[in-house]
Amino acid sequence: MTSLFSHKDLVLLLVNRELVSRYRRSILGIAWSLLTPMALAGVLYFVLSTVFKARLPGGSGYAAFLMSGLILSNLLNQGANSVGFSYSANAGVITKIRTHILMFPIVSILSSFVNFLLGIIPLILFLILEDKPIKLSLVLIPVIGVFISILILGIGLHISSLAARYHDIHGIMSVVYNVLGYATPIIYPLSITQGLVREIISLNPFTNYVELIRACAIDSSYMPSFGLIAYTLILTFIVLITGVSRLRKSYPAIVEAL
Amino acid sequence: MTIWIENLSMSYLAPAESRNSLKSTAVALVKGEKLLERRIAIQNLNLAVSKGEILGVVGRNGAGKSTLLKLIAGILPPTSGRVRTTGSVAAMVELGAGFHPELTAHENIIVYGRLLGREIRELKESADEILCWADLSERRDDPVRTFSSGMMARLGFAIATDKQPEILLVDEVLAVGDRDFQTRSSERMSTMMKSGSTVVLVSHDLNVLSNLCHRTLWLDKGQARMLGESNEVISSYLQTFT
Repeated sequence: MTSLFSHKDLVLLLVNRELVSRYRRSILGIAWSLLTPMALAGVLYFVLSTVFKARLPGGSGYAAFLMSGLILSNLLNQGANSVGFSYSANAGVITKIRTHILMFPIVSILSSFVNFLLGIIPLILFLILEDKPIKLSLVLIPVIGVFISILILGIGLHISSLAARYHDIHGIMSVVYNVLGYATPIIYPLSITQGLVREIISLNPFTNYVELIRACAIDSSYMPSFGLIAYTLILTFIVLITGVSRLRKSYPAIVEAL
Repeated sequence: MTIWIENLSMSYLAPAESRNSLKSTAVALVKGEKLLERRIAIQNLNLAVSKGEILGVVGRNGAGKSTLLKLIAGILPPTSGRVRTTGSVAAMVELGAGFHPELTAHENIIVYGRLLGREIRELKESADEILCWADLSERRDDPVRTFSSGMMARLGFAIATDKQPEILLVDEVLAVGDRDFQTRSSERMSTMMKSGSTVVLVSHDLNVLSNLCHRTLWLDKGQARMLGESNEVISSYLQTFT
């Protein structure tokens, strides 16, 4: 880790490369990062609140509620995928040049994290449109994003290790991420679930993270219990530590399989 | 000694019988077959290369030649044993494979050069010189995806050899580009070799090995079968084909 820190200019250079190259061939450029989640939120908002007449318990404010969940699910989908593919996407470098074993996964998660930060802008926009107060606690969302990123990095490292052995893992994982997305209260509030379903959904760490984001952005009543927050943080670091140690063991197999 | 290798072994777990999907693994699990097997890439290798020496490596496909270069370059960690090198190491294998297609030639020089361990400031200064040597000055701000494979190889070679490394690892690299580029790149290589770089050269071209290399290592299934004067090793190696 220390040697990676001494290469922080290289990490920043590569993150910049990811972000620049993703948007270089489009006229709108980096604005896509703002438009895609807003367009998705717009479609979901129309379908759910106009077609299905969905209402949040206690009144309005569905758009900001939806957007605060979407910035998490975007981070999950984009981050887990790009970390999982980070070795194969950079095979040309990894098999030829000595690099820190965690460099490309960290570059991938950092560039997804930048998109997460950009997603806070449309969230604030929706809060203004719905006449909600702009809470000072919004500044804590990037901090929550860091922990979510650590969890996703850990998951992605497990997937990278498995991908060296099983080529079909990415297809299976896209289904798993989908299921995970639905088992997270993104389009629905946690309060409509009951009993065993609610307990299972509460054990999903992403549920507690999305509730934390909402507690900061919308209303402190979303705040999960202290026990659930502790559980989520511990799980996050367990996933990361086991991910790194599994990666260290399977790294030769990953490089030889590229 | 610039390269010092002691009891080096490299092995890793891979799916048995190239079983590489979860589905086939599940089937094998039900049948009770062995899932993983240990593949041995390098076994118990000892080697010392002195400063300025040019060492050739021969062997059949899968003998562990490229793995050996990766171990010397530090790309792969050894399973057991030790690899010690002194000075900067430059690996030159499939040049330009690490370029990013959407970035310009100039931007790629900075990123690729930084990956090779150079300073960004220093690269900005020598970027024009690199482009000039690669004959790509006019394409400075074009994205690399518009380049031909020969142009990319030229650019990759120019970046990797811009600053003389103390150890140069070469894996079948000179067979790219047009005739003019081949002449210029082999000139640059021989200047480097003459001015004291230690070189490890993997090649199937036995003429190149016998002309350039002081000694040659013959790898067979990850083990050193023979190490010695190039022509001797090459003629014993050739006998196995008859």
